[in-house]
Order: sequence, then C-alpha cells, then structure tokens
Amino acid sequence: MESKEQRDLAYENKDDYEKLTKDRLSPFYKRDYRDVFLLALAMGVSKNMSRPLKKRIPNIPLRGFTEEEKWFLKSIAISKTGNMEILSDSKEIFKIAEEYANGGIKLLVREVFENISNYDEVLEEELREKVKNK
Amino acid sequence: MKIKYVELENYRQYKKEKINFSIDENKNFTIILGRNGFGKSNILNAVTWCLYGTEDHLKTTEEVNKRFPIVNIEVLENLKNGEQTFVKVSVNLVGEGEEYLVTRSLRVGKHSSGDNFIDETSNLEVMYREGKNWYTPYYNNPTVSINAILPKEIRQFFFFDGEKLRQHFEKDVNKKIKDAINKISQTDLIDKAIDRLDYLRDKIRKEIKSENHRTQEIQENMTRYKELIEGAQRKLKEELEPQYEETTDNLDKINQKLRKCNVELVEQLQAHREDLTGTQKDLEDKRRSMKEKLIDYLIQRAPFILAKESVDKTNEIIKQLIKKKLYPPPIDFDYLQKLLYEDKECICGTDISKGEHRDTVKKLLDIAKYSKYPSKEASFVLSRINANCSEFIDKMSEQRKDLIETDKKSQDTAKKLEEINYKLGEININEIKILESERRKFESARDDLTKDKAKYEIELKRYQTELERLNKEYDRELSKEIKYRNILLRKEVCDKSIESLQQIKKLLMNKIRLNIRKDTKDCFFKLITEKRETYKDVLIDENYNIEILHKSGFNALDTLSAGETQIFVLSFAAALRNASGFNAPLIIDTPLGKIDEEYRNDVSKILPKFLENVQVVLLVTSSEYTPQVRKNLSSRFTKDYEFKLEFNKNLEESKVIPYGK
Repeated sequence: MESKEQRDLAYENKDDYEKLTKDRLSPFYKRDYRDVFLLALAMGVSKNMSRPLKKRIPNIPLRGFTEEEKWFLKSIAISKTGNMEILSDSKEIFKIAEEYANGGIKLLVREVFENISNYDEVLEEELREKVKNK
Repeated sequence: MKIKYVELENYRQYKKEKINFSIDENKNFTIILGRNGFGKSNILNAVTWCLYGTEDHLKTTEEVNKRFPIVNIEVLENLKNGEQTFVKVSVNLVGEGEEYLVTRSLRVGKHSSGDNFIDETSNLEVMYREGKNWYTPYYNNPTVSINAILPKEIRQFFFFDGEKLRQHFEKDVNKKIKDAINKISQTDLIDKAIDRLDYLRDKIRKEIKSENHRTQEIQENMTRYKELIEGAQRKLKEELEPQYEETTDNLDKINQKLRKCNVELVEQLQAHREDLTGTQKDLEDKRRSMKEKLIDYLIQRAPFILAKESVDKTNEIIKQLIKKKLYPPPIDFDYLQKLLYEDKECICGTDISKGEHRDTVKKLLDIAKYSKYPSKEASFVLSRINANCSEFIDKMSEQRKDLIETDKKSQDTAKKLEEINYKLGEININEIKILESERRKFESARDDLTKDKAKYEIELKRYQTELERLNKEYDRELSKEIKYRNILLRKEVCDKSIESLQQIKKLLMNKIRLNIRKDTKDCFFKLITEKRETYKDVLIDENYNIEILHKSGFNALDTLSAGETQIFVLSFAAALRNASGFNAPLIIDTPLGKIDEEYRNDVSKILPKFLENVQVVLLVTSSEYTPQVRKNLSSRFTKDYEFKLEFNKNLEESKVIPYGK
C-alpha cells in the first residue's frame, strides 16, 4: 500500500514564525512561512545544527514550494545521507529538512532581531563572504 | 450636446436671468464680457453646480463665501421670518433630436426666529422632451443621465478657468492624464467584459469534479487567492483610494488658499515646497519598491547560497553515479519490477520465477533503481541554483547602488523641505499658520494613506502572481485527464478572449494617447508661432508623462513662460476634447488671461479653427477682449450671442445684456 503523500512541512513552535512574519520591521513581514522555513533550514545546514522536533505542527504547505526549492530540500537530504536512494523516501527528505530548519530557526530569530533595522545588510554581507570564499 | 440656454434664479449675484448660447454649427461661439467681480465666473459655476453639484470655480476666499452664500443675498434678506424660497439653475441641452432640461434647486429661507437657513443637499432633476411635453426618464437616475452627456471626471477639460488650468497640471499630472484617457477610451466596457469572462471561466472550472487530490488542492487554493485578491481590491477601491482622493483634494484646497494669501514669499516657498513634496513622494515610492525588490531577491537566494555545500555535494554524487554509468540507468526500474514480481516470465518466454535468471534480473533491478530519479530535472535545477548563486554579487551590488543613490536624493530633498518648513513657520501671519497646521495634518494623512495603498498594491500583486502560477499548474494537472479535454478547451477560449480584450484595451488607450499627443502637438505648434523653431516635439510617453522637447533635446515643460504654458494647456484640453467623442460644449473663463499680448492675436486667430463644430462659450475680461481679438473671433459669432455683464444701478444684481447696448 502506498502511504498517504505528505502535504505540509512541520515546525515545532509557531511563535518564532509568527514573530518573524508579524513584526513590521522584520524582512519577513507578511511573507509566507515557507520563506522563513527555507532560510532557517539553510542556516541549520550551514551550521550543522539539526534538532528533532518534539512535536510536529504541520503548517507549511508543500504546494507553495517551487521546483527549485523542492530540489533544494532533496539535495540537502542527498548530501546529508550521501545517497541518492533517499529520493524514494519523501517522508525522510522532509524529516531531514524539518530537523535542520528546527535547528536553524532560533539562530535566525536571534540574528533578525539583533539587527532588526539592517538585517538585510547583515545577511547580504554574510552571503557575499560565502560566495567569495567558494 | 449643446447648451441652448442657462437659467439662473436667486443664484449668487443673479436674481432671474436667462442666457442663450449659440447652437449654430458655424457661428459656434458665444462671448460674455465682464469685469472682474461682475459674475463671469459664476456663470461657469452655475453650469457645474447644476450638472455636478459643485462650484468648481469660486474665486473668492472662504470667508467671503460665508458672507455671500450661494443664494442671492438680497433675496435672502428680503424674506420674512418663516418664509422660504429656492436657488435654482437650469441647463437646457439639445442635440441630435434630443432635448434635456437639467435643473438643480436648493431650499433656503428664514426660520421663525429670523435665522437664515440653507439646506445641505440640493435636488437634481433631469427631464427629456418629446414633442411639446417634458418627461422624466423611466430609470430616473439624474446623475447617470448627466454622466452619459459628459462624465464628471473629465469636466475640467470642458469647463475651465483659463487662469487656473495650469494648476491641473501641477499635481499628479500623469495620473490625471491617464484617468482622462481611461475615461475617454471608455475602457470600463472592456473591463466589464473581462469580469464577465472571468466569471464564466470560474463557472467552467466548477464543472470539473476531479477526484485527483492535487487538482482539488489547487482549486481550493485558487479560491482562497481569489478571495484574497477581491479583499485587497475592495480595500483599495472602497476605502483607501476614496480616502486618498478626499485627503489630496483637501490638501489642494489648502494649498490654493495658501496661494491666495498673497504673500509673495509664501507663494514662492509654497510652490517650491509642492514641487519638492512631489519629488520626495516619488523618491519614497521608488525607494520602497526598490527595497522590497532587494529583500525579495535576498530572501529567495539566501538559502541556496548558505547551504551551497549541500547542493555541490549532491551534484558530486550525481556526477559519480554518471561516471559509473549507473545514472541515468539504461533499464527502467518499474518495468523490471513488473517482470520479476508480476509476469514472472521474460518476453522471450524464459521462466524467471526462480533460479539463475531471476538472480540476474534482480541484479539489474539494483542498477536500475536510480531510474526513479529524474536525472535531467536534477541536473537542470541544481545547475540553475548554482548559476543564480554566482550572479548574486553583481545583482546585489547593482540593486544596492541604486538604493543608496535614491536614499541620498531623498535625504537632500528632505533637508530642503525642512528648511522651507522652518522659513514658513517663521512667518507670523495667523491665517497662514492655521492653514499651515491643517496642511501638515492632511499631508501626514496623505502620506500614511500612500504607504497603506502601496502596501496593499504590493500584496495584491503578490496574490495575482500566485494565482497565475496556480492557474497554470491547474491546467497542467487537468490536461493529464482526458475526460476534461472539452472543459479545458472552453476554458482556453475564455483565457484567450480575456488576453485579447486586455490587448485591445492597451491598444485602444495607446491609440488615444497617440492621437491626443498628435493633436496637442499640432495645436501647440500652430499657436506658438513666434517660437515654433524653439521646440522640436511634444511627447506623452507610455507612463503619461508629458514632455516638450526643446530643439537642444531637453524637456522644456518647466521652463515655459506663463503664456506658453497656457497655450500648451489649452492645446492639450482641445486635443483631449477632440479625442473624447463626448460632444459637450466648451466653456472657458478668462481664456487669454495669462497669454502675453504678442500671442493673443495668434491664439484668437487659430483657436476657432481648432474648435470647429464645437460649441464654445468664452467668458472674457475687457483686457483680453481687445478690438483685434474681437475682430479675429468675429466670423464665429453673431451679435445675438455677444453679451456683456453689468450690475444694476443699486449694485445688487448682475444682468446679462447685449454687447452693443
């Protein structure tokens, strides 16, 4: 029997997402949770911070992800397991993503609110460094 | 439609007056000469009050208006306690076998206590004539009837004060031009057709009862986004835009009053401040939109760059598999699986249910497992992610540089504004101070509304993009199910029709814009005889910005003299009128007031040629109506339609009398 396809990605705690998307000064103001999730995930991955979810609140619809973003989730799962076979297990791909996003979200919240007036500049600087060092 | 007569009763300085206008095709001009203060502008006001309920051209200050209200002051004073009467203006319109009588009346009177009263709302009535009798139209909505004759929104291009016309072009000029062209093109009909088709498309969509889980999901989402779009549109149209209009109107009125304070310095500072405020607003809008775009780009790209190692590593894994010829595999995984677990027999007839052959197929199955993973898609998407990362620095630098430049300009403008505000605050004139404080209040309200509007416009755009994306995905999903082919075809007809209508709307507006540009240019170059060589072209670009190209290539619009600007604005109004298709009369108060004497002769010679077959009423002062001007216009009117205004001997009432008397 084929298992029911997963529709939403989950987080552990809504507060962080809400804080980031409801604060008028936040760069995520009025944006989708998807944007927060993806950046939290990338932060978790880059700092190798994966944290299992104590409870799952599935509230980030997968239908909102572009093809590029879906492959981004897949490539993280492939690189972390070192195996293409993970692609046959979408549940595991999403679990890996959720755990890294859960690891990265606190860091993201801290960085945004510590630099609330110029987080875009801080993030830009970090990305420039990253691109240059490649 | 032409105005046959205007009848005024107890209206301002007129007690009872009937003014006939020429409706002759060739002798199409009516001239009314009057000194300032004799009631010239109030003839224009009477027409706009009757048709639209507003006196657009009051020349006196608010204080004077309180002392001299809309009702004739002598009539009001002569009423006994408890008596009432009416202010009444009727406009008789004729054209193509039709005749209408529009009448607006307002109750005024004296309470038994002796206090005067004027009703807050007036009564409007439109009647049409059949034979000798007058009837009320069966739908009986006077405003709709008047809007069919001449829409309220474009009245300022038909009934205007020559001296003040320039002000129309000082604030939100491109919005005004766009609105006028929109109204003239009557694109609301196309919009209605698009709405109808959109409704039909929705209905067609609802016929689809797909059991496909994904399709249902997309459909639910589309409904959600439609609701969000409708909500944002409602908020914009019903709440923010009317509030914005009202606030800018109030601000305009205060700015006009500030102009009237007649303090030269205040006028200069005020004009400069209006310019700078406009610039500042544009810069702030520009900055906000640039920053939105920058953050959008940053947030979209950031995850891929931060976790680029993972993408690279996956690319490496795929490369290794390709090298080992495991990816993409030559044999299909699903096919082998079916062979092994369902058919259990090869196509050549070999039994593969057990033994050595089964082991071989099992090995193949292990190699083929990667066929489940789309190789082309993976490589394509991952390489696109990489390409986007590598262009990040250039794209960000470009956006950041533009933002910093705009910031700098905005700061400079803010500093200049602060200086002007300080200087204006120093001038110790009470009225100016009160007006100034009101102005600030409205300005701040307008700025808040601008921000709110921008916020909702951005949201709306985001929802529309998302809906568009969902639409495409929905069609893609449905096209997989053959049974929906017919429905999809019908929907496609709607899609294409909507697309065509949008195209038609764009073409129509463009065509009218180009026509107006051509007519404005032709008329302007005809009228500006002396300096015809100085200017090269008149442009109205796709954003409805107006430019007058100097022969050296710069935009000379701001450097035109008052007279030249007047000529330009008259040319534009005439062009707009020609393009509109609304065959309404043209009533111009002080048409040549700001035109230098050297040009008056030319303008009065050429304007009639440009306004052939148009009913024209000119309200002129004696300094404009020189013997030469009169001679130039004389072929276009008869002595029956040349009047002058006079006060009666007690200076209580204006009368319109034949010019020669």
